[in-house]
Amino acid sequence: MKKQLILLFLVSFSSVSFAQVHGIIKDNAGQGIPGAHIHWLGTDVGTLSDESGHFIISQPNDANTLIFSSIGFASDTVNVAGKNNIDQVNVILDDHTELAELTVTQRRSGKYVNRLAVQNMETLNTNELRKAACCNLSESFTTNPSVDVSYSDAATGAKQIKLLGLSGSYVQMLTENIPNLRGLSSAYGMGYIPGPWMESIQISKGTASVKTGYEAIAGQINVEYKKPQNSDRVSLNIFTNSVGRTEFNADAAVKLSDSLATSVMLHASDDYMTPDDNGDGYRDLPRIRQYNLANRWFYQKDNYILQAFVRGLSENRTGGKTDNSYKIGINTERYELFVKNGFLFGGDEHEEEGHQHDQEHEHNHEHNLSSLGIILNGTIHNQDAVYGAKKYDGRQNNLYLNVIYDREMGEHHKFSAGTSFNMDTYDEILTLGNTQNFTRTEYVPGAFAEYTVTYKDLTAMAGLRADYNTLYGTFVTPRFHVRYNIKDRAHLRVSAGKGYRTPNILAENNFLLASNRVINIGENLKQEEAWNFGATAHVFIPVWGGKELALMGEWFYTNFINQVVVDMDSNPHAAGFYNLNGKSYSSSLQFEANLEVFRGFTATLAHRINDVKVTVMGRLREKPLNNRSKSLITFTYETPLKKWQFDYTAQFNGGGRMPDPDASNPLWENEFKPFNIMNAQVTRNFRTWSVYAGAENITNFMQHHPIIDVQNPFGDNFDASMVWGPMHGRTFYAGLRWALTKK
Amino acid sequence: MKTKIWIVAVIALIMISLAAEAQSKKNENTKTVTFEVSMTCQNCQRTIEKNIAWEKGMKDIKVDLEMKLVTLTFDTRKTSEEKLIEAFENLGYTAEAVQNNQNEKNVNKQ
Repeated sequence: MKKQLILLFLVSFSSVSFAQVHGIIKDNAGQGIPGAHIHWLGTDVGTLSDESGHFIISQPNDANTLIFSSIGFASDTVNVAGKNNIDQVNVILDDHTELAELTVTQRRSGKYVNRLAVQNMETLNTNELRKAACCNLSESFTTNPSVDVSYSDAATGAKQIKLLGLSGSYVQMLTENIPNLRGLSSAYGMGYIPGPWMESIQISKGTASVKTGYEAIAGQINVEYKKPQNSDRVSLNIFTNSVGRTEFNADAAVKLSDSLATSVMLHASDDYMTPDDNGDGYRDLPRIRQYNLANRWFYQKDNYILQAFVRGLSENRTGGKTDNSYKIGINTERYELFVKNGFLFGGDEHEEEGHQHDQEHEHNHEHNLSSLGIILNGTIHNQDAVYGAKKYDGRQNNLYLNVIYDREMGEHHKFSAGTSFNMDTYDEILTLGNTQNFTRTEYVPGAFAEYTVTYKDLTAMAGLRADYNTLYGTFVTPRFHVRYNIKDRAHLRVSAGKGYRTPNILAENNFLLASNRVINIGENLKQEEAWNFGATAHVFIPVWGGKELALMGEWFYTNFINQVVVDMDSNPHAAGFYNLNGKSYSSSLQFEANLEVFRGFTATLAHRINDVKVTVMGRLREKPLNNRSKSLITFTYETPLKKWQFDYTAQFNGGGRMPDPDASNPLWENEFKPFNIMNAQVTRNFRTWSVYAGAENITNFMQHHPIIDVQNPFGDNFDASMVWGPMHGRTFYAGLRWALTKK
Repeated sequence: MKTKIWIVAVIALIMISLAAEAQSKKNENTKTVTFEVSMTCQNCQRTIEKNIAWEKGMKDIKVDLEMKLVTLTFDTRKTSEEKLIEAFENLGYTAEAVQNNQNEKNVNKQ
């Protein structure tokens, strides 16, 4: 022991005389990551980052590769060999999976940017989210070319997202990397996450990591909430618009000790007007009254991190005729709880700038950083709905456990493995004259493993999981990602992988109750199963003034093996659900260009072509109510002192096919035409607060008669689900943000 | 469709001219000074940008976090180097002027 101590002292002493490297470890949102481990490869010299993510580490003689790791983040390495006078290394660790962007700077030399992402992933941070200041998750994609958001019907105000031209149920939604907004909450869930609660959103198209399950088919969207350990002490947000929508948000964070922090987030919103722009006697938008309260905790001691989150939501939607002769009412209550435990091993508990030495590891050029994450999540969801004379009551309970073990094996290998368990219980009662009861309990234990290997500019990740579903048996989910960097100028990625999901007909197609279509649910519906293939190229071209033109080309192809087809064509008075018999695919091609034209002015141009077809009654047909193309233009200008910000977005939505109308008495067209939507916003920032004002749908474009046979809500032809465009015209909005920043 | 393209073009032009105007507002009384500031993190950068922007006479801020440099352009009638150093100190940072150029010159071009 004494010997070791002396040795330790000697080594410490000798390494002090070497150069020091310092820097900052940040997450995607630009926040410093406290307590991250920094380690020289092949040595036991390591340290932890401080509160703000900053670190200082001495560089021993033979050490040239730094390893960065933190629980819940993808680890990263930086080689500083052959770079003299390195004194600062800044790293951005990705809080999701294998994406990390890092910059190493050298005195007197330029910037070195390496984007180490295996997966194709895009992050929207607070700045991006504020470009369209309203209101919740569903509105957060207005300035994003990849995700489409549209109304499901003309009555409930439910919004659904589409990715690669596929409906939202094929996109795995995650909050804090835990599957969420599944099943019953998929219909209205996009409204359950208030905008000011969000810290960032990660969108990954195509197949995802196996760590979070098998449900991602078109892609994955993860929302990170504000964290108590690094958010403002108090912040407030008030919003109102010209159709009577009013929202109030407040959150507060407090640090109780060096290792414990907590925060409370609150949201309340309501509508105080009854907009009916087209004069059809129906509310253009439902009245949505929502109360939403969350509390979260963060605890960190040595190599252990605990995060806990609890929230309750109550929502009341009222739509239908303004005279209440046809009424839609949807009451929802939802409770969520998650607890995340993280343990880090092998990094040794170094004091700040501490140097330890362990003989056993001296010649061992493998570093043994590993971590264990245990995630537990529970959700209770209750929904009572009335659509005219129809009633739908649903209950869903969910319990989810995920245990993930990550291990770094040397510089080039990373291994993850784990096990998960998911339980869903559904109890749905549908009253359409007679009462039908649908109950279902599903248990899914599973196990997974993922291996990432890096060789020079090539990174490959292979993942495999096996799950047993009590309704559908055992199934295997393979997923692969390969990334190749050509210098730092171009990144090429390919991916292939499978996804599965259990269809929830009533929950996911709840909006069809806002029509008088007869609902025919087929027998023995199979689990949905699909392959997704993707190829993307990102090219960075240096232009004037040290700026970079980013060009992206992406192609994703989804091929369904099993799918529950939603047949709105065979009978204009019915909606049929049956197993796919034939082909079903989605092909999505997207181009994007991004440039800071001059200081403060950024422009984005994007264009996407969707080809989505599904076999309906033996015939391969274009998916109805789906835009064939979409273009997006965004301009942002920020003044040098960041006191003013101007944002402008234009969307050019292509036309598409309508479900087949009645042949003898057509009540709608066969096609819908292309249309454009423009939004603009001005933000004025002050020292502690900011005001913003803007207009949505500036050109006042509307789908004028979205409800079919609007006069007879109880007649056979009544249908509020034939929606392809905006329900309401131009709206103006204004809001105020105030924050007491932390000192 | 054509009118829509026109609208987009006009809005782009307005934003560009707004930006151009803001950037061309030069004044004989402006001065650009680069300070070496003891900032270490993204949050520090944010704090500095947010607070120094509200110092009197401030025209422009450029922060280079890696080099720990903050380049300020300001109206000499309203503030001075000394006052700005004080402002940095009030935020909890040390600051030292490293280069001193009259008029608009980009000291720290990357």
